[in-house]
Amino acid sequence: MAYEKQKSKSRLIRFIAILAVVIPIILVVIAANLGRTGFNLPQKLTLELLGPVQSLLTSVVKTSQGIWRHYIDLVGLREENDKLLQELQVVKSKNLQYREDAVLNLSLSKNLALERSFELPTVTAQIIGRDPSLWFKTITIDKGSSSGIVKGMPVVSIAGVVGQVVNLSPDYAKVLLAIDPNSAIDAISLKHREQGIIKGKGLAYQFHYVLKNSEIEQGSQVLTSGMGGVFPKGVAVGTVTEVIDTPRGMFQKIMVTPAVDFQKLEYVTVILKVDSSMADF
Amino acid sequence: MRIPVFTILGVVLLSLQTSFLPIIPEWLGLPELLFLLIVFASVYLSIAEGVVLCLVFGMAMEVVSGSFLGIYVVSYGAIFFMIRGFSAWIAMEHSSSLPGIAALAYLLSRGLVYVFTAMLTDESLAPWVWGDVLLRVLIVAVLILPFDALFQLILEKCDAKRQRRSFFRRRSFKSGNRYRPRQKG
Repeated sequence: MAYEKQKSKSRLIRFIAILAVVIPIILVVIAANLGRTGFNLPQKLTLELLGPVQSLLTSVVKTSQGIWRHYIDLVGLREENDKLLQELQVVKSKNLQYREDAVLNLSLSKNLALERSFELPTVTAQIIGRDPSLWFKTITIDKGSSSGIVKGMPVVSIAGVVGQVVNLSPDYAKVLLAIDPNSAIDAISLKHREQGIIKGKGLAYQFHYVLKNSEIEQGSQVLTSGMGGVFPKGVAVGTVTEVIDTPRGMFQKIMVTPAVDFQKLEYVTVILKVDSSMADF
Repeated sequence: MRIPVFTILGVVLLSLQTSFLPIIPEWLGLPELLFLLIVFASVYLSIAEGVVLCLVFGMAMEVVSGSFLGIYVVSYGAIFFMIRGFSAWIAMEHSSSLPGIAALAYLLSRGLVYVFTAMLTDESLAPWVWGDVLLRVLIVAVLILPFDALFQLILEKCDAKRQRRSFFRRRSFKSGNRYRPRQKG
């Protein structure tokens, strides 16, 4: 009995001694890392290690999805084809209208001596991983600093704004999606030219700092304004889905549906645009 | 042997979680496979092994997630000691208590991540949606038992290999009492 007591006591003392050594070590590691935003060497190495495994799994997934789409998912193909042809006609007519707007915009820009650069170097990358957490929206792409990518560069897709590079290693990079609450993009509505900030709300955007006397309405297109110096001007952000006139304050509450379907995104383009604002990012 | 094997296993699980499982629709919930390994390490591995794995996996999670660096390390470290203390206190049976402990630990872990992020960020954080969180808690509670069986199998293989190695090492020693004093005469 006394022996058992002594044994449990010595076990407790040993446990406390181990904790007394281990906890300070953990605290030192945590204090060195807590709140940091840039990757240190071990984290870069971890990203380099995870990247190839993620790439391999992504290619397995793509092959399986390809088989499904090509050989199994043929139900409703004819109806979908008819529907798409109809939509194409609508898009073509809208395209003509947008071309006219673009020409007008271009002539106005020339008059104001603004430079509008469409020919920036770009790098296309594949998405190999997605953030598994509930509150953060990031993706991992298979291009890194060795491809000329620098922290803070904008990332877009054919549909529009995707996000911004936040961390990278030589061969891989982490992109903060525009729908993440920590993301903020300078934007402007196409029709009424109302300027504001687009902030992520998890699945959609909110268009901040738009005054109550503005004429912005549901269905308005929102583009990047180019004012922040990160995204080039005129990249699609989304469509206004809800305009709520709040009883208090100077600004309206405007919800915007993203132009990009982040769930189906597979490839992105990193614009190799170096700007002075990236030095502080 | 255990640490390298379980580290590689963690890398595979995390890669599955980030590259393969996102094809599942969001409304079905995403299983957190790496967390299942953390729970297993907390119960069955030694303190040193468990702490090393928690630190490594916490760092790996921060690499693929958009959270502030250090948050997952704190969260997993806290969960490790919580589960360890709790399982020793209740003299935990292998399978009956594990889903409950895993579910509670996951809820606590997400809470810690959310609270720390809310403290560190000056921007608004996405709201805590109980539906999404509880769905993931349920998924963890359901998956812990089959994954525990898998991890146990891997652990047994590791230990069997270690025993075989030490058996061979013992055989190379000379037999007999080397410390017996030589008899004179």
